[in-house]
Amino acid sequence: MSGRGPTVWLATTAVALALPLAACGDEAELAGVLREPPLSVATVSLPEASGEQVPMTAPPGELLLVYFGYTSCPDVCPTTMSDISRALDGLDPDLAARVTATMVTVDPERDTEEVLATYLDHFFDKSYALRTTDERELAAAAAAFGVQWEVADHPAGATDYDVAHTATTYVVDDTGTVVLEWPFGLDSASMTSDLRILFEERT
Amino acid sequence: VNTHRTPHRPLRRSRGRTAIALLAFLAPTALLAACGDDDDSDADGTTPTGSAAAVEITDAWARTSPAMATAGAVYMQIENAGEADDALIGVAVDPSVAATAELHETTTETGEPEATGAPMDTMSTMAPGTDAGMPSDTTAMGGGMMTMRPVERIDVPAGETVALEPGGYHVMLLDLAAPLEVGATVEVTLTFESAGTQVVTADVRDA
Repeated sequence: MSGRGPTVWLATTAVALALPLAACGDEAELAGVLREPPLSVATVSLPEASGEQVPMTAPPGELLLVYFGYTSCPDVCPTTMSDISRALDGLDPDLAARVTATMVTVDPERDTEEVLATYLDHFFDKSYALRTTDERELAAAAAAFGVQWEVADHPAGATDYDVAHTATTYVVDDTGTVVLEWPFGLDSASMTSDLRILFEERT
Repeated sequence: VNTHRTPHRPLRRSRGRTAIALLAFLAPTALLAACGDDDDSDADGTTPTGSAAAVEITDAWARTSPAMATAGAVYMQIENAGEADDALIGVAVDPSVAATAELHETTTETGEPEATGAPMDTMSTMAPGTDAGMPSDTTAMGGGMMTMRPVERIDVPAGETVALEPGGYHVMLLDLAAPLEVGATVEVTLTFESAGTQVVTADVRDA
């Protein structure tokens, strides 16, 4: 330690103080995970229940929250949808209006258009209910995000089979880039804070 | 809920500056820990139900269910104030609520080496040529597949409280007779290995 001039110590102290301040400030630190390198899903689009193709790119100045799940899921999916819903409630209405929750069903067999749309309406004022029965289309979209899913073998017509799936929520911006990932279980206050930060960065 | 920190930035440790790097690293870490975002308080309006058995259920709640959803979940805290271990070994629900109830655990499947982001089951096969843009780190942040499995028992050791909570153990309600709506209650009957049965009334709420 000998031989270090005061300048070094000053610099050290400055760094040591500045970092935690930034972290502890109101809401400067993102709780979600930044994808490096940034992942583009701009080429992906999936059909909405109504049949219209929805691009995985938010409208200018807006964000999409994309989640792959299924409605027969009792725990993980409704927990996430509820957390996102509360996160949007925590935002200023003008910011919340610029966020669209999007669920892609990985279980189109049980999740009919009506079931899926009704499900999302329970949680959100506006949302995209995305469903395709074309497995190649679903697989391509899932692969673009890095989502895995697995539907258990079941006899035709069965309604009680298991589905495993990646339960991450992807925040996608108006360039079709996944700018942030929220792991399952992230609390809604952190989501709210992340959305505020992302919007501030973009204005 | 403790795996959600932004990954540490790469530490710049140039020659002979270990001490500086260490300081710069340790200081924010300590403070970050201090300004944690989750408070784990579970003292939110718990309503004791059941008898004076050694096992006590508090804060039982069921999540509201969307109109056409078939599945529901009930959560609670189970405290074993007694001196002997016990276990939750069964659950039942009235058919007016749901066709059946099961004890479930949500688990995370860690990414397998061959996992490329493609579904691995027989029903959903990977479309050829779609792996071109596959990110290599699909499980980098614990983003493995989540699934749930029925469990035969949930141990409740003496002196401990076991949580049935989102992302963990829960009572799954299958084939709901009607949507679970805010303000309603649902009753489930729990069977414990030693403490016998207890009827638990769960408040229906959004979260």
